[in-house]
Amino acid sequence: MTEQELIAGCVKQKRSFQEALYKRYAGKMMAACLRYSNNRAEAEDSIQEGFMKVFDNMSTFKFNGSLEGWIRRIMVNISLNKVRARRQIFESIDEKFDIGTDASENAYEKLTGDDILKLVSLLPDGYRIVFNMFAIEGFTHAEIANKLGIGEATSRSQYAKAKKYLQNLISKTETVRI
Amino acid sequence: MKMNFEEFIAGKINQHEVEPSPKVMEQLFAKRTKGYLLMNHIRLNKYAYSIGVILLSVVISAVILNKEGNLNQNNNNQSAINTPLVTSQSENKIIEDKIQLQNENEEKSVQTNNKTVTEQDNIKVKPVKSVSQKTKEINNISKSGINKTNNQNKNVVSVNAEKSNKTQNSASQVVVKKGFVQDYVPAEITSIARLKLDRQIESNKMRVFHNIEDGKYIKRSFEDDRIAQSIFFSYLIYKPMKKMPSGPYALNMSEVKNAVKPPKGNGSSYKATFLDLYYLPSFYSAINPATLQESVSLKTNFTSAIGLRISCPLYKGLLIQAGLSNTTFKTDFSYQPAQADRMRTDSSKQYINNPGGPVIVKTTYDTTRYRIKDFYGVNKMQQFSLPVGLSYMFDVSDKVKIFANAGGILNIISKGKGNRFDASSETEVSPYKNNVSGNVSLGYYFGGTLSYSVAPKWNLLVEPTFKMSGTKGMNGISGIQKYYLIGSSFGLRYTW
Repeated sequence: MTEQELIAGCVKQKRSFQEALYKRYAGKMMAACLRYSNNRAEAEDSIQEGFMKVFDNMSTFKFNGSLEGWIRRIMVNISLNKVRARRQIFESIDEKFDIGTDASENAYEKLTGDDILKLVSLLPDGYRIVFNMFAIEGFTHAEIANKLGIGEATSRSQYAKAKKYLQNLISKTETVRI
Repeated sequence: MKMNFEEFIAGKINQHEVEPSPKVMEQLFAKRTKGYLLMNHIRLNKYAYSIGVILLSVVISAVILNKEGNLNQNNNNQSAINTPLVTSQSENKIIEDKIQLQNENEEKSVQTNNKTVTEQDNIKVKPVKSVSQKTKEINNISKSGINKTNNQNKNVVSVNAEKSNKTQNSASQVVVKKGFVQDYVPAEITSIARLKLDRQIESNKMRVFHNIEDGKYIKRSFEDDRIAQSIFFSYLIYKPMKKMPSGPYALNMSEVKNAVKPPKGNGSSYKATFLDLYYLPSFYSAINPATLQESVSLKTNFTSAIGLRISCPLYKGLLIQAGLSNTTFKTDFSYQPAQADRMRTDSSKQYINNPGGPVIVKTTYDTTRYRIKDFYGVNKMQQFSLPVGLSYMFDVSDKVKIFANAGGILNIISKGKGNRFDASSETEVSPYKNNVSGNVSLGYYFGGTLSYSVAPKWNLLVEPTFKMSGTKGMNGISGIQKYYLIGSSFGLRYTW
């Protein structure tokens, strides 16, 4: 089934087409939601709510970008709403965590997507969200500041610390494997 | 690290998938009930529905205003009907002959019914006058007109009777057949009788009417008349024309027609509502860039529509019209590929985890050779349309009227069958399967109407029309599918 047929079927609110769309993108969207959520249950809530919006508003999809990108944007926005609802505190956590040093190039080559997702999930909440938005979703710091209701400088510092922290985690993973 | 850290992380993570639990999908579709879908549909089409509600309100308001307009029109027609009271000498001769005939009949009935008419029965007595006297009286009324009659005479019949008694002999006294009745029965009133008898016995305060069917005289005041017309408005005007009376009153029907002739439509306050039944055969062209194969394979395009439409006057020849039509689109597709032989290669990748090294990717290629056949297919689609628009009337003559029409259409696909050929995938697709219900879109129309009157309330219509109809995306078609229709409808119009 082509993407156009899938979209046309979803516009007509046909369940078979909606199920096909869900099965095609649910895995990727679940991974995206997990990067923002505290736990799996919250991520599942997010994709459920997200797919409701996708099915409801499929007729507004204008073919300007990819369908996957459009769905991902909806999922990220819903996840961010939940982050805002949790009143995530983006405070300095230098005292609580040891940021550590850079990882070697050798460490990156051996990492799988699953490994990275697990390492990202180990980041403190504030770090993780800013890191996801900047490094993975491609938001600018100004956009992140606007969406999360924080200062742009805070976003930059959170990302820098998150990046350092993640590199340290990767380095430690390499040490464990050796 | 030399490589971009962000790109590395994003590249790894974006392709990563985590399957949600099956209950997520179950709960997701459990929430999507019919009620939820309906509310969502209304939310997405709220502007279209709002416009529809507003236009419907305008139509209903126009109908109500039209009725009120008819009341006003009837008040105007009151004077129009009374106008012929100022009669010519030649007309008086005709009336004179009628009265003579009437008197001969009445004299016969006097002898048989004389005992039934008494003052105690509260029956007004009207004396019979000679032909010459009646003619004089008619001439007097004609010269003075109804508006110049004596306002102080509350019962002209009685006054006339008194005057006549002074001058007439007792042998010619009673004219009444069964007597006068006090109760006014609107259904028994006919304007024909009013026109004739008003000449003899009408004042500003009281009139006497003659009931053609029962032979009764009916007395009523102007107040009764006003109330009756406010209830029956135009019914009173046109009903007498349908019920042609026999005898002497039938002679002046043309006078009545002239009295109630409607004014010109364009630029005037002409009030009439039209109900049209029409058939519209037309040719159409389907245009949509997303379905390029149609532009090369479309062979014939034909539609036929049948519809019902109501047009109500708004202001000075301007009408608002709304209706319902059912259009059948018939499309004959043909697709003949230049080269029939095809080769398709499908590949599949298998990822094998290698704990000690990089992931092993195994790719399998399947090649298939096949031949595609020429495609022929007939598509039929039915679409309900709700046109709402404006029309302006130009009065060419009594029988011929021209209207300019334009408006919007709400299109709803009711059913469809047949397959098309998707040139991109070179497969047959069914555009209508699972895509019919809820396929609502907007369009527009404009054109003209030529109306020719074949009977007092019936007209024949010829209506050249241009319509833009549309459907939402269906299988093999993305976006709006537009149909441009050009044709001429034929129909019948009822006016009231």
